[in-house]
Parts: sequence; structure tokens; C-alpha cells
Amino acid sequence: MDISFEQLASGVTVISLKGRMDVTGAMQIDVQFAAVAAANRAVVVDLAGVEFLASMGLRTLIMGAKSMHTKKGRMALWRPLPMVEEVLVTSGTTTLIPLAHDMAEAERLALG
Amino acid sequence: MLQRITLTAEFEALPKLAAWVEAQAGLDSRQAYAIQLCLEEVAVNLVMHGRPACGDPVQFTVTLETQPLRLTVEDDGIAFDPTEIPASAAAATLETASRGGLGLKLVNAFAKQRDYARLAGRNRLILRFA
Repeated sequence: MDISFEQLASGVTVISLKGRMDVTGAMQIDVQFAAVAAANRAVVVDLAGVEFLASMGLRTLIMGAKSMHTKKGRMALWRPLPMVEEVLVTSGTTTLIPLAHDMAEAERLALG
Repeated sequence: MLQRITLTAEFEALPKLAAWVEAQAGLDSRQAYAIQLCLEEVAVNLVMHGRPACGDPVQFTVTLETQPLRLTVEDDGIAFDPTEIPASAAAATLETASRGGLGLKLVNAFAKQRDYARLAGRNRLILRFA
């Protein structure tokens, strides 16, 4: 899977993920995702390009958010596809990492 | 329709398994997602925990039937009944969030019925879908 980053004027870093976030995909991006999350105070994860998400992918998101949280940073999830959103909600992940469908809201959540 | 695939439980098998489900005709997108999700979670468990301490690599066979939609996973790994494991409560905060435990919870949520049996030294898990 692919990962890319963009720094916005607001100070938010957008991490864009693309592809299948299964065990294979999660292993491909895990180290980079953790490093970028740990180095930033406000992160929005753009999930629009993620067509499949399973527990190993959830683990990548949760561990990234957890490491940000210990440094008073915040992560927000942005615009997942419907089935991906169902996985996020069913697993309880959205109680740990807030989710938004529009960018202004995602930015607000990440900036806290 | 009945389709079957046998694989060795190793990380390299997981993309093959995903491609196999993708290639199945007659599933709507929600069914295809639920099956891929449950299969990935069960297979990852097998890869990570299924191999006996001093045994051979685990072999597993997946059978997919439609009408009604049913997935059967049989393996020769250590005895493990995933239906016996209580779904762990979701962590309430990031401080208490741990690394694991989400896979079986997703299987419980996405498969409407789960049945396990240990037969002739093999695990058999049957998942039924709406």
C-alpha cells in the first residue's frame, strides 16, 4: 500500500493512505506511519483511498494515535469508505480516534 | 457453488487468500468484504499462534459455499476454539489501548454465526454470513 504526507498551513499533517490495509499492507507502511505520527502534534489520516481495513491496520492506526497522545498530540480519521467505517466503528476504534467526513471538522479534531 | 483452497499458514499465504476471495463470483461487495475480513483474521491467528512448538508448518483449507453463504476453515494447528474466547471489551482510552484482541471481535461482528469443532486432530471453524 502507499503512504504520503502533506503539511498544511494550519499546522496539521495529513497522512494519506492508499490500498489494502490488511496484514501485508499494514506491514508495508507501519514504520513510516509510526515515525510521522510520532513527529507531529496534529495529524489527519486520509482514509479515502483505503479499500480494505482489517485488525492489523487498526493496530497501526491505534498505536500511532497512542504514541501521539503520550506527547499531547492528536490524530483524527478522515473520510473512510462505508465498509471501512463499519470496521472502525464496530471495533471501537472511533471511540479512541475521532472520525470526520469533512476536512474542516477533521482539522479541528486534530488541532484540539 | 463450492470453492476450496489449501495453503500453508505463513504470511506469504495471506495475499493469495485475499486474491482467491476477490476472484469469487456471485458475492456482493458487503459479503466479499465480510468474508475477506473474517478470513484474514482467522488466517493471521493461525500464522501467529497456530503452529505447535516443535511441529511442522500448519496447513489450512478454506471452503466457500454460497446459498447459504458459508465459510469453513480447517487446519491441523494446535487446538483453538475462537468461539470460546470472550470478545474483549473495547479499550475506552488510548492509554489503555493494547496491541491485539481486535481480530476475533471483528469476526464476531461480521459473521452472523460461528461454530467450532475439533475433529480427528483438526480444528474446524464454520462461519455463516447473511
